[in-house]
Amino acid sequence: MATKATMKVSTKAKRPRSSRGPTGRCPGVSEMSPTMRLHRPQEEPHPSGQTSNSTARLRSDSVKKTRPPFPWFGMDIGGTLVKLVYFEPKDITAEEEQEEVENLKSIRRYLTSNIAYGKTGIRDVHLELQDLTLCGRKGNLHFIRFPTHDLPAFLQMARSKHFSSLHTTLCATGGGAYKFEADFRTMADLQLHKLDELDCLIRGVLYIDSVVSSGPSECYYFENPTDPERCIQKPYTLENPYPLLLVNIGSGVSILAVYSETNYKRVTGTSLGGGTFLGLCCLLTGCSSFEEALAMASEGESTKVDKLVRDIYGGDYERFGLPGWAVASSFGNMVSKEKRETVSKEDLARATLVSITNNIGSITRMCALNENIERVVFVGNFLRVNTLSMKLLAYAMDYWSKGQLKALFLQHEGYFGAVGALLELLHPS
Amino acid sequence: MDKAKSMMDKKGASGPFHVTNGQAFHANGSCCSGSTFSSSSSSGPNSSSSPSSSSSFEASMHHLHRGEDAECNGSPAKRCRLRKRTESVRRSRPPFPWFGMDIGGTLVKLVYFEPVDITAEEEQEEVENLKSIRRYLTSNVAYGKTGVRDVHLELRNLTMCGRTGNLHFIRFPTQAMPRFIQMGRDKNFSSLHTTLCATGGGAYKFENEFRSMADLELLKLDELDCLIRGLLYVDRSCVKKTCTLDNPFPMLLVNIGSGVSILAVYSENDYKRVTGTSLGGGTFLGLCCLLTGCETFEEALEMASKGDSTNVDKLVKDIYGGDYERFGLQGSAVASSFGHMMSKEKRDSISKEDLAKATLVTITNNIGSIARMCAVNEKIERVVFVGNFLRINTVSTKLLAYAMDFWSKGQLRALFLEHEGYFGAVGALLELHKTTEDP
Repeated sequence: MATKATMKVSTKAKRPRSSRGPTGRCPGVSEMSPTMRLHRPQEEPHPSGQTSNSTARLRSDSVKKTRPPFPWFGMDIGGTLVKLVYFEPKDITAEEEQEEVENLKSIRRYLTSNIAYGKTGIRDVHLELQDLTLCGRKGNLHFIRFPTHDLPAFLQMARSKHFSSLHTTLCATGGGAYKFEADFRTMADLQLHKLDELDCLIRGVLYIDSVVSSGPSECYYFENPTDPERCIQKPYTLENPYPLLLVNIGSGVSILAVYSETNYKRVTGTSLGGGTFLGLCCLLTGCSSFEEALAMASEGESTKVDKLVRDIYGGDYERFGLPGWAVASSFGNMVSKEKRETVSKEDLARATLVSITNNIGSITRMCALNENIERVVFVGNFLRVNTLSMKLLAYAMDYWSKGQLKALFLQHEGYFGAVGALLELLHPS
Repeated sequence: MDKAKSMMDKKGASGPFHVTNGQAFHANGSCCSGSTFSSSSSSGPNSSSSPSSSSSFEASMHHLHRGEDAECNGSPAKRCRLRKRTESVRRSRPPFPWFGMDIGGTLVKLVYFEPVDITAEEEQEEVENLKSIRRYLTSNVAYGKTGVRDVHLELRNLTMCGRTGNLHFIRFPTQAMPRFIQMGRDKNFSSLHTTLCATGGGAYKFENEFRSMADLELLKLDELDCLIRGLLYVDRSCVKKTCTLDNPFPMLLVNIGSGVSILAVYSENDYKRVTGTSLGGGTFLGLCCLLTGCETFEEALEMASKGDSTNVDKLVKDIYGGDYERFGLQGSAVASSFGHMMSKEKRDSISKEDLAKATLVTITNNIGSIARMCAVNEKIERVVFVGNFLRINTVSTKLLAYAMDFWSKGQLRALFLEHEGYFGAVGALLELHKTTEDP
């Protein structure tokens, strides 16, 4: 059995497919550029127009030879969550279906007919991209996540489904691709093709934004973020996106300045991220999930917990432009026993959310200022179902920069690393 | 809220901006070096027929209490006036007691100048309550339940405004302010007709209480102006061996109180507030109280000194299995503060001490990180950390020193000052001497 990251022909497949390692590529596809608007919905352009049927047939034959075998996965093993993208082909011919090995079929069925897997796996159906064309095949792109804590269960499943016999390359990014590399090998006989998480992130962001052409716009912002009655989401076109500040809020935070598809740097990061929010919330309120923590936060009042400028000054600190409602000291009221006794768990959850979010906003703003970048895109699963933080970030960027900075968000939030990993499988760089 | 009657021109703009304090601070840091004291009525650069400090004020500054005309422009009669002024210096020295007060979000910092060169005559004339105040302050090291005099910080035999004395450093929680004002009333402080120079947010917040409860009028001063003035004064007073801050400019000044302000200081008179963060000393103490049940700063630090934050924080190696080499992140770096605490198992296995340590490390490293970003962007290599978060807090000072050095690859230097959280109060006291006008 192959132990290297090269693909071998399945013993059952009749159609001769030459083996290709990770260098197998789909010809006719150049670097994906977000400014390259697709000619037909979600289809990759060909470099030259096809003029004759025979040419087309020849090309499609050669494409099949260099296309990696199914299944096509991209995996991002993060500090808290594993993000998995799976491409489900919908253009399977009768012939192909006949030849398809049993376990491949079973994997496809298992993934696409469920929206929950085991106790903690979830498929985000609302994020599914349908009728996508990838590497000459048409299908749906699925977005699945589960806690990194449950990776052993995932590996067990991969083993029991004989995933390794499919000889497919498993492209994986995130710290876990390194940390669990040995486990993949020993527990499921799988070789990971390890990729850098930030490379994949950027690649994934640029790709998704370019292919989503129907339904809600991938990229959006908030208008009137502090006015609950008037605050609305509005679409934003990320054409000519450079330079861009990309803030990835996962367990921790990385901030990248992106100058072009291939030119970026990690400006800085902070360890006060999504993991901090959830960890502190669990400790302070007894909650045990991200959704619970958010639910509590939505009902709490952080101003009881935080010491505001007006609590110290009796009003604004005008001289340096600090309004009375600004937080001077997060959790600052909690030094008082009386106050500790009067706040609720919801207030604490809210204060935790606000503190973490505002700290990220503040650091981001400093970076944007110093890198001279006006557009900031926030991604990462901290923002999943977390409109509170998104609005806070939108407001903070706008207010403290006096309208110079714009906060942008993307629908596929935390999945870009996994998408980038999938792209590496199909279009190795 | 009343507008601040500040010595400085009040610029109510928003965002970072420069404050140019037209006030030229005397080179030796004190308001006067000898027995003469030049009062500050002249705004021109030629006011220096007096041998000591030349304090030229911007025309926009106003002196509050005695309606001083700040706009005389070096007229021919000036010299005559100056001579008279020199003679009247002794008369125009502010009356005792001399206090500087910084009413912060968590603590009130008080500096008190105790004259030790009191003549027999002066002693005879001294009013009873003034004597009693002096005795009360200097013969105790604790006041009420929560007031503390930091004896180890006392500056002895200092000369200020022509008097020799000891400078005392006293602190108590802002929560005890009502009691302090009560005491001011009981001791009939207002009858001493002294100006009470106060800075910090509380100078604004409690202004009315001082007036209504103790009949005291506060001279309100900006906290950052006072901070810088006080810092330079104490450092230059060179009572101790070496001055820490030779050629101090430019410096990045990080004031860690309840919250944090970061200032870029280019000269004594030129600084800007670069940014701040709300995750400060108040956050550390507030979170610790919630997470561990402790009640004081000292308790929280004690617990932290015994804990292991790596049980609480998710490190890079917990995610990567080792270093994240590509971006230079060592395995031992924290990737996600408190990141392990989403797991019930881990929550059940850590101690209160671990939580206290993690809180300390998280807050400290966040401040360090932000400070470093500012230093890089302002192109300043010297970062001075002050504020009472660092009081008896060697864990944090070491962390900050290490972080500045490590993450900047030795480019940045972290500096610390002994009088940590008292500079604002000292700056306020210094302002007292400046407000002394000609009759």
